[in-house]
Amino acid sequence: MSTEVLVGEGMAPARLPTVGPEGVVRRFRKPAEVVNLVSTTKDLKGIIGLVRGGTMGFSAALLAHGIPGMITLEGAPQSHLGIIAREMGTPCVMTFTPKDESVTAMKETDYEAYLEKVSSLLEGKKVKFDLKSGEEREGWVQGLVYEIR
Amino acid sequence: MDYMEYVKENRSKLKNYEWLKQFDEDTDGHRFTPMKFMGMKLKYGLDEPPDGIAGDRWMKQNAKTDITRKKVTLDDFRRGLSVDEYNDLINYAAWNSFDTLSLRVTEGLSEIIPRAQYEFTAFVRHFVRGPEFNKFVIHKVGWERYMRRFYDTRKEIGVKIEHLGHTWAIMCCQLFGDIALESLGYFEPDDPLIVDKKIWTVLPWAARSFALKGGDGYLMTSQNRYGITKDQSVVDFVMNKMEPVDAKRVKLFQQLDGAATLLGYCMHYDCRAGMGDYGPHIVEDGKILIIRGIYTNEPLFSWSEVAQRRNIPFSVNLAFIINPEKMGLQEYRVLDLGTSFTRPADFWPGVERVCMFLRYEPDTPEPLPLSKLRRLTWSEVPDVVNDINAATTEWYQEVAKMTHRQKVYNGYQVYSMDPSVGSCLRPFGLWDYCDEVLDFWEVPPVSSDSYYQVKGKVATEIMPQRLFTGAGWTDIPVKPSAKSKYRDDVLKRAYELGWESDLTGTKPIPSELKSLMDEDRIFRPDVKFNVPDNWMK
Repeated sequence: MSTEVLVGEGMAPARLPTVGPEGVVRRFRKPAEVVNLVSTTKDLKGIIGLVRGGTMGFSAALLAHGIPGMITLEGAPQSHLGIIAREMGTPCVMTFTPKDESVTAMKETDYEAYLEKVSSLLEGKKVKFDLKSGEEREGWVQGLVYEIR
Repeated sequence: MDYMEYVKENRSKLKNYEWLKQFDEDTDGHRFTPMKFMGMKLKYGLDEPPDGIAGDRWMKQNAKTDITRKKVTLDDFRRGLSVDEYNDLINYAAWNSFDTLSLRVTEGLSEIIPRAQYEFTAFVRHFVRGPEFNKFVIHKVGWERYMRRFYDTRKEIGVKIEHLGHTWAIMCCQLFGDIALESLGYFEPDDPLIVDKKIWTVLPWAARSFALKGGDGYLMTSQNRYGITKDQSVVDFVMNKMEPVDAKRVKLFQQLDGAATLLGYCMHYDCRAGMGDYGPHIVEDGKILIIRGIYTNEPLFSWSEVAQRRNIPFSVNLAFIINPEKMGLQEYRVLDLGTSFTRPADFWPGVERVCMFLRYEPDTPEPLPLSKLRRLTWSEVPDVVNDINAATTEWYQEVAKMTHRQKVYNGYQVYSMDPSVGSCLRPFGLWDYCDEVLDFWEVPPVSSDSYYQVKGKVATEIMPQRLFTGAGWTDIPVKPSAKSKYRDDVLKRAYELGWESDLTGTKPIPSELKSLMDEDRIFRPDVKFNVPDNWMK
């Protein structure tokens, strides 16, 4: 039987009426990886995209192909990806921050190593979003991310 | 329309919706960011105002003059603005830029679009060439026609000249270029040639914004509780076409909006120039009407072929009514960039009626009658969405193959056309002349230089810090210096390289403009502000 463990949270541009989506986190580092995926896979169901920035351009082809959810390591709902995700109704958790404080502490000492560590915590894991029950904050909604183990 | 006055006068007809409290005189509104604006503290040792309605009030109260507090009139333009008034408008623009963009600075870099770099290069161009093109447009069409065309765009839908952000940019983005160049030491704020460029940044913006907002006296939406309305004829037109939607149709409508917005942003290289809202229009018992233009196919950009091949329209235009109760709305902001932000953040649960139009014609000299818009039916929507998403994917595949420099230039091209003076050249019938005779796209040497200085965190860290804290926004001096580093260094070097003037780029100065250039080849046309009282007719 699977269990759900809260692994972190971030800023969501919009609240959802239901919990979800669920999917396996796939990290994208280069445009070629995005092109390769959308050229070979028609249905992105079951994939949660993980990208570094909150800009829109890098994720554009994923969004156009209906990726079920996005996680970013940087950016805010006022970033272009946040605006587009809201318009498209694509669940999105921005500036994901892990619950593990030993990891977040790295942010101040070595930012690049911190981003790498956070990515490795998520990459390949099956996760579920809860954008339904988080608190309403200043212009965004607390988005919770659970790992399904 | 003055929102506070309107709500006060119509209170008995309006339901007691929570969101209407944003028009109460003494409200502070909600906070959309925990950050505060540091510019007034850094410049004058004053306090740090927040974002939103409370921040707007603070900025007005702490201005030296009443130019941001009162409603601007035609007489203010006729008498000419004082140095203090210019500086109050610049300080307000600095706060407004913080208010609209401060949270965006956390978004990091894009792996596909080098936006920080193209923006930096374009901002520099904006400040160097933008004021000269502003003068040129007004020289050609006169202040009256200049203002009337912006006023008339309130009566049309789906054109770029109506985009709020494009008008905001001829003030703010041009001054971003000033901030960049001052930060890099190219000149001082008291440089007389730079003072001229600043005045020809602020004044055309103020007149354009005054007209775009129907002459109601507000120059920024934030001054008017974050709203701007279309002409009543447009409101009536879309209200008569509204259809109720169930959950299934809201989803379909959202798919169209999302797909078009995505392509609009891609077409404009990850920029808000591709989409803009008007509203909140207060309709019925206090519900909200939003009229949205999404620019999905710009024929002036070579990469628009991905849209042209699929006959994607110049703009997809959506209008929708939000029931504020259904979404628990507390505040609705249409920012001066034309983007909507709400609290709570998602407005979709409140959408209850919609209508959709396509426009195939780019901006025209006279407003296109609303009857020429093509109404989109529900059965057509899935195919339109598929075509748009296919165009986005193809755009992505093309851009992924481009060189870094090519993408910087393309982004520069977008910024030269849209969030700048370029957006009004087509409706004024001046585009071909500016392209062919005035070398419109050409990059000034100082822009090329600054491109290399972007490295070393100037664009990604120093510039955002100077823009959004307010540290970089300098005042216009009462008495400019006699010396000009811009003349002695920047222009001298540019002229040695074959630059003819900031107006004409590398093209020879045409004979009809030669007599209007001064000894520094700065364009100095005789453009008196002679707009009559009945300019809106």
